[in-house]
Amino acid sequence: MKATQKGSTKMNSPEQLADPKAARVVSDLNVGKPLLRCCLDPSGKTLFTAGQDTRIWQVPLEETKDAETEMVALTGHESWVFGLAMHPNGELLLSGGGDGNLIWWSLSDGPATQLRKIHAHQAWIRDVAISVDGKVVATAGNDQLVKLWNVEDGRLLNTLKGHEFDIYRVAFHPDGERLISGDLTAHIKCWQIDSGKMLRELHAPTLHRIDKNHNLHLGGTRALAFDSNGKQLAVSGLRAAPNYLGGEVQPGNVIFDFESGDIVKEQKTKEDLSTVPWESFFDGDDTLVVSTGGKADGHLFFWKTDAEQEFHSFALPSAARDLAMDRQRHHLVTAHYDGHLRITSLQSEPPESEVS
Amino acid sequence: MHNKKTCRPEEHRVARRGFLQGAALAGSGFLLGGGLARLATANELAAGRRKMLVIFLDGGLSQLESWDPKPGTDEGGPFRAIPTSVPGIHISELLPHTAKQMHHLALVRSISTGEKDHTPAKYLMETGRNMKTGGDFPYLGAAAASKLVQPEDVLPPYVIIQTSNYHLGHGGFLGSRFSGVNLARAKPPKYLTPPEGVSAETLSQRATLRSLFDQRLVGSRRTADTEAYTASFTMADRMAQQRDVFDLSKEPQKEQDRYGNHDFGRHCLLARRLLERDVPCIQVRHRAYDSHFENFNIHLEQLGEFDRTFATLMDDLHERGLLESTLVIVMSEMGRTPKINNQMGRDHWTKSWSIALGGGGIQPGAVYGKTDNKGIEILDGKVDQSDLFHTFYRAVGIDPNESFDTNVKTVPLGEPGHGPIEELLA
Repeated sequence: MKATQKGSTKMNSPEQLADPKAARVVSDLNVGKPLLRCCLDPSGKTLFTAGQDTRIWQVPLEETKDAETEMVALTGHESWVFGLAMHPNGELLLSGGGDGNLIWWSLSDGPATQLRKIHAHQAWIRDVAISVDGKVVATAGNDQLVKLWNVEDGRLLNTLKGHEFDIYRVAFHPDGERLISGDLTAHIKCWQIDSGKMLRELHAPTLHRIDKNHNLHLGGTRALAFDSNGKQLAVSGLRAAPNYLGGEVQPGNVIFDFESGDIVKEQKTKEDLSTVPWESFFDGDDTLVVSTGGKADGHLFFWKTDAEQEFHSFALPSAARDLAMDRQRHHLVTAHYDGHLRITSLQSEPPESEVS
Repeated sequence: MHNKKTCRPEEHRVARRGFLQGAALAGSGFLLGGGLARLATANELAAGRRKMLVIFLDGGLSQLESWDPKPGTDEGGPFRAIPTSVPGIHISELLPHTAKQMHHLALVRSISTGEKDHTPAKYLMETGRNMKTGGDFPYLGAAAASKLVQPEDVLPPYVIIQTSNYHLGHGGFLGSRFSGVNLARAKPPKYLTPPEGVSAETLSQRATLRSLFDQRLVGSRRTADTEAYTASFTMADRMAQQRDVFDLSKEPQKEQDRYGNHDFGRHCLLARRLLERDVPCIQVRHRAYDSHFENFNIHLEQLGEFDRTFATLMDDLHERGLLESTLVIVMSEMGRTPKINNQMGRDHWTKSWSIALGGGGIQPGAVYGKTDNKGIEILDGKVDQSDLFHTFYRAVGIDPNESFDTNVKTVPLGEPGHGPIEELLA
């Protein structure tokens, strides 16, 4: 299947500094199906995306303008794919889905091929993450369990029990020794990877509430991000929900000092936009980037961690879901409801090859 | 739509005979032209008194996440379909416990209704009539209660159990006697226990005095309101004698746990206790299905709560011999769009949606109607609310062709020109 690409996807221009205020879409690939997840291989030459069907799409990026690119469908899941994780060596992709399956995909030789498939959870897998050293993969989901797997042979290393609600997100600490998982009630558990012991629990109460009239939990842990040295943890979610069922919900971040466990900043957007955080990254140690999508379509927000409101936001044409960054952190890739992948450059001066 | 002309003439003859027998029995009773109840057949008597339990999933249950899943299609969503206790019937994986009850249930997968907003859609699905036509028609429970009530009843004929105090279940032109009695959060009606310091003798004297006043008033101005006024005091007195039925702590903890430690669990447990005491019409409401936002998360939560509790209730009704005589209806005011919006939600949809029925009068394991593989178009068996109401009434032994006499005009129970879905009737 072919994707139509507008603009160039040339991504790495290390000589130029990133500037969020210079954000502009430089390339747009129409995959044709509403998308949920995306990730980028370390070379920046191939994107992987999954959407509202059972397939993962392998999308080669073309540096020439307005090209048609041939996508490869990766089939193996029986439900939507909610978690995609790229191995640091770029030779392996892991995916987890609503079918509870965890699939290893080999990328070492052209089109991805399925290496291994494990029925990992008795419910949705909502997130997949790979450790910094690439040896452990963590999965988490609606059976309220976190599971750790040996990347090399697929062996189950540990099952981490303790959450009482669906687990939405999981993330490794940069120290390589710890892991966190966040659930529907915005409780964040910190685990020791080797022992599986729960070290402590953090809570972001402003990102969860119970509608007592409906007995409905609202909010939850929608994104987790550590800064580069692991001192700060950003938890993104819904800080307000004037009309939850109608999608009038507003995004917010809670910034923790990870060592003390203290909340150091509660963040919100300047405008009360109805939109949901889907993914976040730290750019350096002081800038948090969050992709959002919802009733108010898509946005990229940029916060300084010590400020309550964003210093910049960038509107996107459709609800943005997942977010990936290239290694130089000059380009952001977003997966959208309208079936497009969009590459946003943060570089101030466009190279000649880019379209305006 | 399901047209009345598919009915056989002899059915109408039987129905009319039943109606006349009922009318003869009722004597002068009330303002109902059709009498209080038609004569039960020997089979019906053996099966026990007919009752109706409606589980109303407020806001609009997604048919794709429940009774008519379309896995693997563009708009099918992330959930898979699972087999049920009836070979060949699959429902959403969100209902694993309900799937094991499918041999007690039937599905209608081809409902098309015309109201997309909640208020008129609820009116439509709770009265069987379009709000625009006016007429103050009674809600289903009130209309059915007026036909199923018995003089010796000691509890209200129509009870609504929900989390709020929002008044529902209007009696319409039947008056307040058949309006739903609202039991918010499964709490009993207020003031069932005599005030402290007031003796039984004093209460009895007060009742006697009130009765004397009533007789004098009724003698000169007998109206539906005076009837309802008198009946409500009589019912309150009887309910006070039966107040233990509302006390769920009388149930062993194990039973309470089976139903679930949440409002819906307690509401369904109370419904079972009320059915055991012969309350003929009960509605239990479960809310928050109006999932314009994050439809899948919301259905995970809400149906997660619904599924086990509903299956437990069905199990209990069956084991206690109540299911044969109790029509169970699981319905909403509408379905949800096949198209998934940009908030991962599904919006209002009335073109092709589903409900489940079960128990008394219903053919177990039946599936009526079919939608296309996207769930957008009805391929077979298109029905609307009027056809469903004819089916509901017939399942509990009420002739939908009977009429109410409102003193102003005669109003048929079921919408004329429609008929029951015969394939679903036992």
